[in-house]
Amino acid sequence: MGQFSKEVQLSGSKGDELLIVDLRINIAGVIWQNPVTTASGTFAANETGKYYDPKCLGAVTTKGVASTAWEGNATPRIAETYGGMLNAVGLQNPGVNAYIEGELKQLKSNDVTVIANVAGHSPNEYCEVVEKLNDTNVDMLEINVSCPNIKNGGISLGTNAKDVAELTRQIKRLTNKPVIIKLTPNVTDICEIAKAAEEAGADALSLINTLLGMKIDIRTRTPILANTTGGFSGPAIKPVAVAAVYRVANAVNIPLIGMGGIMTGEDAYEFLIAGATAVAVGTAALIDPVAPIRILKELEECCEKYGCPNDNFIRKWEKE
Amino acid sequence: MDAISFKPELKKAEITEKMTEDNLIDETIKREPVQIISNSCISEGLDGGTLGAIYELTFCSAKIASAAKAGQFVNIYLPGGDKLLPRPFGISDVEKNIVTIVFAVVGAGTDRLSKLKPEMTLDVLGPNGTGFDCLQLKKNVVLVGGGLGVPPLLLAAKQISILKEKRTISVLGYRNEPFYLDNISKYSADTYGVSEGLINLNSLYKDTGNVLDVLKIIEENQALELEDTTVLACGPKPMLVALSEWCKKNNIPSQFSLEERMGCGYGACVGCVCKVKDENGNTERKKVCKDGPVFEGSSIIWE
Repeated sequence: MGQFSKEVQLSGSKGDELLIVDLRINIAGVIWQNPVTTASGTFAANETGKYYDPKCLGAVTTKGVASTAWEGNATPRIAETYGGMLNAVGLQNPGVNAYIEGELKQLKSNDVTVIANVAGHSPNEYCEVVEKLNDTNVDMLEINVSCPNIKNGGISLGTNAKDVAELTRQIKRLTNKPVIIKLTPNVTDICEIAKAAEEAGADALSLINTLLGMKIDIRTRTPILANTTGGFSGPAIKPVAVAAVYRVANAVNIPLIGMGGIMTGEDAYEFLIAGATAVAVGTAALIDPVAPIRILKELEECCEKYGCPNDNFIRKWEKE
Repeated sequence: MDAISFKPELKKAEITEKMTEDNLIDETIKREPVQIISNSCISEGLDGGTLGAIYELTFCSAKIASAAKAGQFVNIYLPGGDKLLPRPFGISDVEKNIVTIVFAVVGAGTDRLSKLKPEMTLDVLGPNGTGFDCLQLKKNVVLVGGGLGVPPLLLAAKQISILKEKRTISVLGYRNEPFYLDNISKYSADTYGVSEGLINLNSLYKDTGNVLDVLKIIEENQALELEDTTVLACGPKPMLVALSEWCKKNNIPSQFSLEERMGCGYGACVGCVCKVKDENGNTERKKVCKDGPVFEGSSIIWE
């Protein structure tokens, strides 16, 4: 990890064809050494940092921070489903001030490319966080308009194209840092929201956030989650995510970070073919702490085997 | 006693991030396949069926065996791609390279686990969490266990027996048939077993009831200097709530192992929180998998 390019003998090639595999991307002006990042809410610098060096990833997306500390939802916050899971964590976070002094400082001192995910109950709260982060060395901002667990400003904001556009405009006035809008799939037409965000000035989009889901204990006849519903993630949602990325890629011109059920390098490759410039690994990392690194390695192998997945890399992959 | 890798020269354990890092073993703990050595039923289920049956599973892992502290747990990942989340189980015993867990069949995941055979491999991540703080113990250590909370106290009893001048008393409660009673009694000065169903128990107090009944009898008979006692407990929440009141009434320091539905089981997802009071009385939400599962009894806010 850390090599920018390598020469690879193309499998099944005639003669001496060599392919230069160079995974660097330029996404909204920020150079990532490879197209893999973590999905917000599945990475914690202190915990995950014990398993691998986050500097090895193209970027790291941290858990949503709000203007003040949020307690999150009552437990149980987690339920297992077939090929996936439900979470209703409720964005428990220490607030932007503690984030800046703590996790952000820690990651930036290690030269990690950091995407700060921003949460809020109202446009004012989002703006408060963006203003503070603008004065730091964070690399990009991901705006969480789509978390399904928050009553105000979560599911309602992300499902309304006009609200998303207005928030994007407000945020763009407050910062020069690249702004990524994270889209929810819990809408009739995700392309409508995507286009609205692009028109309002979003520099990139990330999709998809979790699907709305629920699980009921048939013995007690009550929902497993204290919050009743939660966000559904994991390999079971991958087809929904791939379709969303494919359709949005054909609707907008800004780069996409694709996510939703990526478990292997081949899954990541699939998203890159569908139209994503980068990918994020979430649930896979919860069940295997080193998953993002493993998937990056497998993605490298896929590229060696199948060639370049798209035209979004900095260096056009050349055959010699 | 055979080599148990417990290092008595542990530094004083403050519950801070830094200290946890210092306690890490050199090699990176990873989710890795281990080989199952044995998997046997030690207590039949309800009506002889599978539900409620209790299994003892042992696997080979030098890394986990050498690092495990009593009170820590391991994440067990089920084979097959449909059930993704780890099942966390307390570490009951460690003997050379062999790690033991004890679990009950409560659903489809544990049912699948109960059917695994020796020589099959299983993915495991651990040891996770904070263990019991064995440097803060008074002379008398009362281990209180309820049901599936009993087996992890075996490792506690073993590791405490290495410390000088500790007297261990084990008070173990069951719904029905006891298990792990004999092996824990080997490391305890006194062992009391009670069951809600009447059974022949090799103990002073052969009676129906629960662990609190036993503790009250001990208290009444003045069989223990309570002012020189620490309680370590592992078991169902109602037991811990009642026990915490008894400890508070008698001014006894305690450490409780908590349970909560977990997501990742290693501290990333913030799914498994519990409420505790810090020194200033402020409420904090701590991760049971990472800041726990062992917490100071008096700091826990019960809901």
